[in-house]
Amino acid sequence: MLEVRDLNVYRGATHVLKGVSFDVRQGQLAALIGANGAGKSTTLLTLSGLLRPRSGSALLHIENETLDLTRMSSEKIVRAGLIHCPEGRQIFQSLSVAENLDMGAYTQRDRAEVRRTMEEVHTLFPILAERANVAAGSLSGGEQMMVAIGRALLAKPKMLLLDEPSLGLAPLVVETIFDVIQRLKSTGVTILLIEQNAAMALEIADSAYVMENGNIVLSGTGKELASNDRVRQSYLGVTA
Amino acid sequence: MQTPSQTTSMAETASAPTTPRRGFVAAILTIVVAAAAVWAAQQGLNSYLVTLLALLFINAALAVSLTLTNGLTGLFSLGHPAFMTIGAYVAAILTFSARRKGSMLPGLPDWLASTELSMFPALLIAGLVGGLVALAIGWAVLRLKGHYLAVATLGLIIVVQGLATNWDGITRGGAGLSGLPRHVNIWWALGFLVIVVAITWRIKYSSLGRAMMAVRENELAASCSGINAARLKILAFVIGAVMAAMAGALLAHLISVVTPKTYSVLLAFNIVVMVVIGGSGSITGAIVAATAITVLSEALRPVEESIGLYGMSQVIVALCLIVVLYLKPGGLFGSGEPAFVRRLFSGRKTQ
Repeated sequence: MLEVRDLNVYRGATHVLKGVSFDVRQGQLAALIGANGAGKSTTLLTLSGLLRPRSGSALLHIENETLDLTRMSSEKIVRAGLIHCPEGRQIFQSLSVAENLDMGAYTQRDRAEVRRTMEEVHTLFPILAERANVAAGSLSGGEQMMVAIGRALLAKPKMLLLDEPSLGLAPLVVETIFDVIQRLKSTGVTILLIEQNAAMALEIADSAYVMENGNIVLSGTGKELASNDRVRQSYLGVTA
Repeated sequence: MQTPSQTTSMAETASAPTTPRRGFVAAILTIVVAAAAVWAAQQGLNSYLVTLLALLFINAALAVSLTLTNGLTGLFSLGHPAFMTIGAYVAAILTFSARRKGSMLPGLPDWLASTELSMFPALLIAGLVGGLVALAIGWAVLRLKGHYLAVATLGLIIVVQGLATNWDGITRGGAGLSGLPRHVNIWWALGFLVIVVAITWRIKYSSLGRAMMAVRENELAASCSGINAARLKILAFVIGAVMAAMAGALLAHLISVVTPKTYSVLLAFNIVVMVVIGGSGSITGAIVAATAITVLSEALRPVEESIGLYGMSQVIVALCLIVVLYLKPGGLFGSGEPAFVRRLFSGRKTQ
């Protein structure tokens, strides 16, 4: 579904992604793990058109169509069905929960369909229905994360980019979020997940990539990487 | 940046289904009442007070238009006087009597020197030119955020004033253009205010307005929702500039003079103060604050003169600003409209 080839991205003068290549297959959940500053978020920002690579390509195969994401505006990428749920929740603080969710459906024209998706999101996160008219900024961190994911779902993603959904959340809430991610996967949404919580990410990932200093240094299935010594030492906190 | 009081009122602003008919009737009734009041004022008040009322309407329209750019979209622009100056000069050059124009403004090309338009087409062209300038400027300047944008737009005022002062052949330099035809009366001002409020209201309660608020709240998240933030910001900037240019043209033809100093940096701050006191993003707030500040500064003028303390009204306006922001940090009405206004004009129940 997604073929990333030799991406080189600079932020200012810094060479952040140094020839990154990886694949995400249709219907799969791929995890991208790595330390702070490895280039994970930069990868996602590039895929969603918010950063331009200096070279390389990112091909998205959707319904017999092949789109090069590196040549599209973020607006068109959203319309194509690749939805980015950015790091740190990034909700609209002073808009209500309902308004936040509505913004997700900004590109959707079919109102009946939007209403149906809204109901699905409310079944997934009942608290969002209860808090519909509350300013999103007053919610707890976990609830805000739900708003962010719900908003992404209203854009009808075919592929979802999740940037650190567990960041700063209580362990119980993290589990809820990971449950939802797995449920989404089972509905056929392809997912690329960035996580610092490598243990949990590898547990649910079909395939996984380890990123260091702007390069993919390891790849394999989630299980393979979870038992890889290097990964265990560096990311899972297991001492050899 | 957001305060609790503002947060709650924002949350109430939308998310109810629209039933436009009742709101439309209410709007028409309000306009009829306002028109009746203006008619009564014309009969009963002296011409100074009627002109003051017209000034008040135009100030309110300016504040509302800035509420769209600054309040809804969150672009801290101080550039309104620049666009007003542009609009005023464009319209003035177009309406000036063709007999005197040739000798007064030798720099004008012949076709322009021999044109003499009536107010309405001149007003439209003024708005158009203001909008085009905003489009060109906005493209460059809107990459800047917050204070940087404020400083850049402040610079724009200086640039436009410099142009108007030194481009003698077209603008008559520092002396300005006086003796403009007094085409504008209070009915023009009222009509303009109604149109500006109607357009801003429609935008605010549409998906366009919601997208503008989304850009204000969080540009990254807005982009992730498929909003073209750059285009939207330029749009908001241009709409505000068109309205400002038209307001400038109307004011010039109300007081029948325009100089490079008519619309100054001081005015930029005054309009921003109106928006901030009213609550940025609140149309009702902008109108109430514009009314209060216009009336206050005008009422204090004779006091200033009698005690010889010029500039005192500015101090009092500043004190009002401090008091309002101390008591209600989000402005009088936060970012929303007060409940009764919303119920009246949008025909929806408050949630």
